[in-house]
Amino acid sequence: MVGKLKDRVLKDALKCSFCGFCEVSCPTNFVIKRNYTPRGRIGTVIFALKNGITTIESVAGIFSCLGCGACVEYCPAEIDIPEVVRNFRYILRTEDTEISDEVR
Amino acid sequence: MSTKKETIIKNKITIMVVDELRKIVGKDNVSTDDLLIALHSKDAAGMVGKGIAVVYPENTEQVAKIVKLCYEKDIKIYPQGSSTELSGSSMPNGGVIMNFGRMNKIEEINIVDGYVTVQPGVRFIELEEELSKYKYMFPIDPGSYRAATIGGAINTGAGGMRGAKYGSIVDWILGLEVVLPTGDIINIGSKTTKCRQGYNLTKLIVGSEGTLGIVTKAFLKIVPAPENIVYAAAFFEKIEDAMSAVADIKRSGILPAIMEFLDEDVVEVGRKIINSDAEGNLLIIGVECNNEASERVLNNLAEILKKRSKNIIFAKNSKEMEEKGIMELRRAFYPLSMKFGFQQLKTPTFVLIEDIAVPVSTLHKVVKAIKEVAKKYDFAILIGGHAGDGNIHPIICIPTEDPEKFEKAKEFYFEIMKIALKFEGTVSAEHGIGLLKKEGLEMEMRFRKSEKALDIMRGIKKVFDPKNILNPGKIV
Repeated sequence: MVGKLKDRVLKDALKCSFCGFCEVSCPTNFVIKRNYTPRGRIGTVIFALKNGITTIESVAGIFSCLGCGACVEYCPAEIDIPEVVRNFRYILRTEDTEISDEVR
Repeated sequence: MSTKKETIIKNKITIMVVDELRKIVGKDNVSTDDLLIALHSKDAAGMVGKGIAVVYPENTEQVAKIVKLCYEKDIKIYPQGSSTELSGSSMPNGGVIMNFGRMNKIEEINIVDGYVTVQPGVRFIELEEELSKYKYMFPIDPGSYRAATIGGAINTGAGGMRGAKYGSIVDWILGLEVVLPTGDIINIGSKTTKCRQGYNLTKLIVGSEGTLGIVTKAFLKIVPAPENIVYAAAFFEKIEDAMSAVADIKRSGILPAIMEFLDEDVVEVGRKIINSDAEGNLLIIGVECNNEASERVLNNLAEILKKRSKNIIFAKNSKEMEEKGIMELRRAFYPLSMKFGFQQLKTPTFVLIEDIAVPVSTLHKVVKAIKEVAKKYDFAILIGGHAGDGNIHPIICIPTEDPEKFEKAKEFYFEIMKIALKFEGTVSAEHGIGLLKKEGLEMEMRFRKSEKALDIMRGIKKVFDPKNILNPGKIV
């Protein structure tokens, strides 16, 4: 079940060209660190699902997404970024990835 | 290959440097998180680099201290804006990544003296919004203006949609504050339009891709926003006719700010945006004028375009242009290419954008030559760009996960650069040299029998940066 979801989430995330058009619309962009931006979150998903890398800081970026969808309008690849993030959060929880209390 | 002992020493130096960086900028402004480093080592051209830490300075003094520290410890520094440059110029390779996201203030807007003072991390869209309150503008308008930063654009030597009238960013920089590789701070140029300060170091820094010094502040020339802009979007059956129309307009004495071109395939994919069944190669013309002259200018434009085009959409002002989606279609060139790629390949697609410039009078021949080469390589190609200044962006789409196709694409782009040279153009118009165009630059200088110019460039790099710590491996 989660395996199939992972494939779907990764497939969506891989559409990202890392152009950054989404960033300025994101309410958490003020943090500046790239993991707190939509393209950073998509990058985080790719590094996790393709390369098996997650870090505490990257996971914090994933859980900082407000799900407001402001980024979606500006994504040239038409990725539903909040949907990818929501599904990835589910994967992290299901797989019992280390998530600190601060970001839960 | 490093020995075990050398590796241990290297790691110790890295830990020490990171500690020192934390003392300079505070612990929240330095990260050694592997994934955050990875996110800052990736760009829109598909390149992936590596670094030992990301640092986010807040002011010039911090930048100077970081640079001095790295100079003393022989640590490489990779200055970075929003990594949208498409040539790999901000790609790190093992040192400290210096991101300017926290240096994002518009410090001064001076209407009377005609300049604005900005930190490097300010984005174009933010500057545009702020200047519009004064009915002023900074005329450089890159396609990636939502994401691109002023610092990045200065280092890339960026251009944009209004290049036909306003050229590229090098023409709009009055002065710069620059941190040299030794940590010294210099102020070059001035706040005045006229300035004779010996050799023009300001223009030398523009387009130097962070290899000579780090730009920490810029004084940009600004101009009043035009009272009105009239637009025409003309469709042409043949590319040759569209390009000839560009020449007709140039000969007529009209000076458009916008002269943009999209080929018929882009129009096909994006037709919904303009809500029209028009077909063919599209030329978009935008002419700045005052309200009283608008009708006359539009009539003149219509007269010229009607000679070669049977289908023209006109807009009397920006509001009408927005309603008709004219510029929206042009701005969608990049997204439409992604859509086109996905439709063609049925898999996540990577969009590769070439960036050559040729004399405007040769555009029709160049576009034809590029299409012929694309056929040889079996690449689906889209062509668009800034017809007014001869800058075209052939785009091909390849599957995201296909290194073989990526290599083939590089070969293909090398052939396009050769076409640019054959028609007396240049291999890089506005995206910079970075890593992707280094061989192209060498080819161009060989073609011009001017290899000596490359020696001079290498010499300049040595004068500024004798220890080669600033963005090494880029340009020359």
